[in-house]
Amino acid sequence: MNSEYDYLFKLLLIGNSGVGKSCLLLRFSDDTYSNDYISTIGVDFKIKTVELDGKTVKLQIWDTAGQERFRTITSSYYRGSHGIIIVYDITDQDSFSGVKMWLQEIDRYATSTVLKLLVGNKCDLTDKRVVEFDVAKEFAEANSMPFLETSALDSTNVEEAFLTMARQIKESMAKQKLADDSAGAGGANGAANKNDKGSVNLNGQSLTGSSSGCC
Amino acid sequence: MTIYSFWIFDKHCNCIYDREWTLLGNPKSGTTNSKQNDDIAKLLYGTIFSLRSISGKLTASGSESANEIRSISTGKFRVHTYCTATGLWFILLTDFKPINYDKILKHIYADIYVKYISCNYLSPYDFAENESEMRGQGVRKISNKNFMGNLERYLETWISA
Amino acid sequence: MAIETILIINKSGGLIYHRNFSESFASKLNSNDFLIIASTIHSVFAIASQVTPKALQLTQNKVDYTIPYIPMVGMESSANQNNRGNPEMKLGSYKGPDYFRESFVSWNKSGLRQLSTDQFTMYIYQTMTGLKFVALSSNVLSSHHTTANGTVDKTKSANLASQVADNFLRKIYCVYSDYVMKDPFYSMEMPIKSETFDKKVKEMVNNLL
Repeated sequence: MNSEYDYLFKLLLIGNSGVGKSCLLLRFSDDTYSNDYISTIGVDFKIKTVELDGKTVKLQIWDTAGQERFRTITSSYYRGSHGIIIVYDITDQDSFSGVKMWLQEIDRYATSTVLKLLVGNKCDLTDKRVVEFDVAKEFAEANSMPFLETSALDSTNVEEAFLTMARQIKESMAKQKLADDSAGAGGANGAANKNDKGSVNLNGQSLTGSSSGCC
Repeated sequence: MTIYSFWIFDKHCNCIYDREWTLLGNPKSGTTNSKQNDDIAKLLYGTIFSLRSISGKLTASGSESANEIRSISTGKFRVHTYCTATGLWFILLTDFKPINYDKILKHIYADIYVKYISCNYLSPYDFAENESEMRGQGVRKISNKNFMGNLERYLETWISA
Repeated sequence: MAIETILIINKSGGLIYHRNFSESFASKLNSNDFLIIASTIHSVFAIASQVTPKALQLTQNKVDYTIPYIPMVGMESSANQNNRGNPEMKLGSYKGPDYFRESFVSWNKSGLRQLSTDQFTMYIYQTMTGLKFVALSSNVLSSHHTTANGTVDKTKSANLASQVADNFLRKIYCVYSDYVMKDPFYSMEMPIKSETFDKKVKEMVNNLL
């Protein structure tokens, strides 16, 4: 039996193509994996094993392709993800504008409780910078998600952010379980807890008139 | 048994021939080398590619030969594959019944493809002419009349069946 | 049917249960390899429905997805069964003598269902909720030794194998419902740690031999 790990968390990596999503994690994951899958099925997998409070946790990172051809398929990859990392390139304004579109995708396909993180990549190329740190920071705060800048040369803060995310997921899972248990006991407290946990997100874009029409 | 479509992929992941019969039982129907099938071809390639890598990993210990995939099935249809040593893939999409099409695919390769494409001096040695046409970016397709005619005649019996 | 490996993949593509019953196929692979294999199966499953031939999309001919019930797949032989008593299925539990007794409709209509290679056959059973049960059998489809114009009998036996696999995997789903879903300490979508479940699966695989 697979007794090697206690938890399995699914993290999703999204962003326009060419922003350097895959490079971000090269040194972070357990082994080096070939990038063959991503061009053929629109997703690649990287795995990092970490210890949290004496439990072995596997972080499985789903690195998705930004290409249009996989759009319908990648949307199905949002299902059940615990955390989503949106990456843009600080030297490319379009990729930053794309973040808005990715946030809409998240609203549409992922659960409302999913943790988000905004990452500005290639911050070593300061002379080519077009997206200012403050602008991105403000945008991230408006959408209530943490924000950081990184580069392939030094990605330690990304790793730190991932571990923080893993810790948060584990905590929220423990909370969820407590809420479920107390709700199951029929207490009034439990019911109140349940209300703010399982609420439906109404911020999502309406489906009519969206670009993903069926025909 | 019904055949829905036939595909050839070369060693650069390019689809160099596709033929789809869109009306059941009508061997004259459908499209050849259709632009509309480009994305489908890429997804089909991806499906086979990733399942091939799984079967490559899950190889019985002590076995010398590579573990090649034979067929992939969904509830609606079945994909039959035949991969040559030169990196060509011959793919047939049929109904989902577990019937073996290996001999048919081998025949298409050995008696039709080799005869009219490989041994043909006028046919390009490599369908990708330069670096930019590799890795699934290819544009060239098989257009040899003899090849197409013989293939049609050979597969006709299974389509009208 | 000799089962080599059983995998359970949750609805988001994570591997939550994995057991090898022999060393022959998995000796070189670690847990990360299996995580990647499981998630790849999950992804290909979604893609497979996108390559449905146009002829099928146009005709919309009705395929019958009913899987016939095959008695006692993966159960102890009927001789021992009589001693157990209680032939009636208990309400609200799957612990009848054979878990279920009726034919059922497969939920896996357009996704990946079977992968046959030179050395193994992989069967995938999907539940209504998107959970996938995967069995890897070292039996190679017998039809692969026949030609397209070969005998009908061989086709039937290959069909039977996939029906047995569906019956068997559905039964594992029943065991999962009993021992994993009713476990108060189990956290949803996470790796299955129940030893009772593991023991039951092992028993069923052994019974299948």
